[in-house]
Amino acid sequence: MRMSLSGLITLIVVAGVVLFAALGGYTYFQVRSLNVHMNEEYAAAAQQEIAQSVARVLSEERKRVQTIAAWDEARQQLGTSDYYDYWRTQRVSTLELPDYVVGVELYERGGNALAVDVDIPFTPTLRNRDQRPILVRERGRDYLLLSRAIAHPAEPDATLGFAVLALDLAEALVPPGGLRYAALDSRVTTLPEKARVASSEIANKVRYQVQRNDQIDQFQPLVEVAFVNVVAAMIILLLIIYFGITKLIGRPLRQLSGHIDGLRNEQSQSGGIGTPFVIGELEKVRRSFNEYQSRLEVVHRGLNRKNRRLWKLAHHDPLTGCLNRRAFEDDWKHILELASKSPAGVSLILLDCNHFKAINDTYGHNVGDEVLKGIASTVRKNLQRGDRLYRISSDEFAVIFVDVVRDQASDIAKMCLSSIQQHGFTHLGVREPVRISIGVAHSMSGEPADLKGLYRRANVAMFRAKRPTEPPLAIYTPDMEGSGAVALSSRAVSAVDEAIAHGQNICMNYQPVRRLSDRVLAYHEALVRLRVDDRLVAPEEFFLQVESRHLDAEFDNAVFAALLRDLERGLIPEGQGLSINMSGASVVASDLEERLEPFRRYLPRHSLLLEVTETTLISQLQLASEKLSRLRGRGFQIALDDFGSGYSSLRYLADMPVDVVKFDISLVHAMCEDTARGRMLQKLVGLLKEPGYKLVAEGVESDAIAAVTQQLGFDFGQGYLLGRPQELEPVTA
Amino acid sequence: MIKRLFATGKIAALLALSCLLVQGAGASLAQTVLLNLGDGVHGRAQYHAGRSDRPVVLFVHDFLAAPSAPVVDALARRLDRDGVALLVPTLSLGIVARRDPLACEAIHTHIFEQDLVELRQWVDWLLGKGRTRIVLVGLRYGGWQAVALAGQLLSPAVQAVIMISPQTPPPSDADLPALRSAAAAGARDLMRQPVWHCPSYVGPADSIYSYVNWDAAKLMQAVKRSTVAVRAIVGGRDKRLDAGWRTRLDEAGALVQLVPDATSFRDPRHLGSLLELIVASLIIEG
Repeated sequence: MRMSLSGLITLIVVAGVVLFAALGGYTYFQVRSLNVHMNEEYAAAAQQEIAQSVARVLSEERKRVQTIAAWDEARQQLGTSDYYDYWRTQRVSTLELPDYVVGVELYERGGNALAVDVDIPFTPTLRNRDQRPILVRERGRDYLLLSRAIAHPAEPDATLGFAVLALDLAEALVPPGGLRYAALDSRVTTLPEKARVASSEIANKVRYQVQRNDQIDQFQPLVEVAFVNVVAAMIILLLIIYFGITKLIGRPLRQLSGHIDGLRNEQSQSGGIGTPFVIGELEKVRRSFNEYQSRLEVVHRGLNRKNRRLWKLAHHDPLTGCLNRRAFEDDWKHILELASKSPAGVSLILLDCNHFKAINDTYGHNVGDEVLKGIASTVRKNLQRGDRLYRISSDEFAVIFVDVVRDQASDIAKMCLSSIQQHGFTHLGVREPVRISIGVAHSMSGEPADLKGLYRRANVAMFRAKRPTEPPLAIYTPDMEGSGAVALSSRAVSAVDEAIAHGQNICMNYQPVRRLSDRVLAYHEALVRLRVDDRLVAPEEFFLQVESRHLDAEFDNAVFAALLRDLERGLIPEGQGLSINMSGASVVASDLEERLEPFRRYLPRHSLLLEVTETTLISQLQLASEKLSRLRGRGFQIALDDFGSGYSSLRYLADMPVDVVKFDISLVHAMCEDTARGRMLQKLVGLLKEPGYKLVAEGVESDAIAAVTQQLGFDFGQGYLLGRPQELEPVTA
Repeated sequence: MIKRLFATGKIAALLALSCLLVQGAGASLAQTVLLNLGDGVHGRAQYHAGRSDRPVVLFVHDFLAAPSAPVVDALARRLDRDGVALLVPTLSLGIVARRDPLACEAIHTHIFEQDLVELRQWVDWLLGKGRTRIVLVGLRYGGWQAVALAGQLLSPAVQAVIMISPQTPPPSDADLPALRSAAAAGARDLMRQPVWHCPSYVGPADSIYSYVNWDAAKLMQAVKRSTVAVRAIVGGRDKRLDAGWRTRLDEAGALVQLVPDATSFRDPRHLGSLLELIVASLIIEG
């Protein structure tokens, strides 16, 4: 159960009032009880006081009468009483007797008073042999009589006479300071006239009233008044405490609490609570809180900066400064969410750098990076502020336009294409033009269902643009879905995966390479095809998938397996060689020799050529040379494929462990022309022949080409004239 | 010369000191003695047996006083401690076994001559005890009574009288003839008169007269008539005993011995000197 501070304070105050009221009631009844008890004590004290007073009087007056009895002048009077009256009036007064002493008398041994007139009947005392004091009531007054025999000094058993002391009891019982607890009645005893009471009974006969104890009587009203005053003071004090706590503690705490709630809801002011608190500890808390909040804000700002930086790092491509794939996916989700609420037209442009891998391999990654940065900056220049450019893969960029018409997106795409085409990359050392393919797709409705297919449609358009026969910018139209190439481009993905995983869909074609001199078939170049839905897919279709997904080595393995099966089936006649294309990744793979080991058992019956492209060798020349050299040592021959199509030079060729050089079809056709280039290429053939390379001319499609190449010194020819790629049937005996 | 030396107290001091050194000291148990003085009156006295080879001191206290007075008590104790036989009676003044001093304002029915009779009875008591050498020592007015007694005694046992601070009776303005007449007529009314050191003495005429009649002249005559040596030990600074009074004493035949710095010997510092002089006198008389 939670309770507010005000509630708690109110509860404490109410509890305090109740507790104090209960305590006050208890105290009140205790005071009353104490009052009764004190009255009882007072009565007992009064009784004791009377008893003590009687005892005191008896004790003091016994001494006094003893003193009188021992007085020389008393004996003098007993010797001769001629001047007794003088003595009784003048000399006795020198004894400084208290006022309550009403008389001192001397008696002869026989009991006769020396005085002629004795007002108080002292005589009975003398009969009291043990001379005990007695209480006598005479003439309405109570007298205490004490007597003492006056002994004869020379005769101890003889008595000269008696000394008698008479006291007024009522006055004698009152000490000089007065009685504190008892108040004697006007008639101190109730004895009848002439009554005689022994000293031991005197205290019991004394009548008195317990004095009203003014202090006790005043005590209870004082306590009641004091209690009322204290209650009032406590209530006032509690109210002051209540309002004080509410104002000095409750309000600051509420302010703190509200500020903390504000912080939680991000509504509090920056810098903390401004108003100082009166209570020192709370003020310290406020300052600490403000200081803590300030530090927290600093940390928060730092975290925000770091978050923004992290977000930027996480959503930007550090190389080109574009947004990255993650940002693309996030934005795309966001667009889909927005579209569900307010559909708007969305256009997507995909840009892909053709043969970027070759650029990377040829000029190095640094150049490739600069090419990408150049593409990104060029595209960015054509975008308006707020348009977002993404690098969604190594050489693929995307631009999303929201709430634009399709023509605007197309125009921007065209401008981008034009700018990139015009952008010179020669300063990077790239001599060939950098080509890009752009696919544009547009969702007119902006409906989520339509948007989900937008990326695929832009991809379809981009694949269309990649086709050599198509313009580099393609705007998606539904009819693109119907074309086989497009369909395959998407289905090629699964076909490649199945080929790698299970060796399925691979269909090997073999194109004959013949000796130009006698057209004898020297060896077959194995060309891989993928069969999809009973239809062969051209290499340029699925190699896009293989290369883009960097599955070259795995795909080569699948091809190796297919070739081994064909060799095992005897599709290659004994004595005819087999040329196997290898990707650069396979050449530099650490397990290349193990993977090719199964082919070695066919070397006795077939010469086996490993064809590698010159770009493969250039990228990792040293490692490739070492591996190929070892393979040569194991009986394989090395053929350099597509010589002249790439970016290599003769310097590289000299360092390569190559047995056969295959001239690219463009070079072959060029050298058949009677041009300077043709003549230079012809010289190149002679130059390569000199070290002993076996030369193969690709593109031998006519007898003229066959004749020229033969004349130039080519050893082998490959082309439609000499044989198309085809599947082989097992050789029958 | 010897008288002069005694007057200065030097020889007396030497004698007393030598006596104490040779013979040593010893206190005796005091004995309370009640003596029937007649007429139903008993007298009370303290008796210290002391040495039998020395005179016994009969100490007469001051007028209306009692042996409990500080000077008397101290002297008695010191003398007793020194082995001096000592009898210290309390004059009854007509009171049975009087114990305490009697106030001036009390009723005085006693007379001077009765006091002397009482003292003679104590002398007789001493004689009855076999004490044949008695020295009367009186303090202040007691000294005069001792001198008066000595003048009346025929007993050779009393060998000397020593008056300690014998105070001068103040001049009395009493009508002595009237008092004498009243006394002679047997007037019993109480009167109030100055008597000796009492400014308001109460008693019948015969009592008053008996004391005021003993004026300085009579006292000097008593000294002169004394058949025994009379010594007066006087404090040199006692203003009540002026040089003239000492001269008169000296002329009357008393040997006046001064204790230079003493006043009335209430000061314990001078009590030793007083004691030495008394003891020296006892030795001389013994």
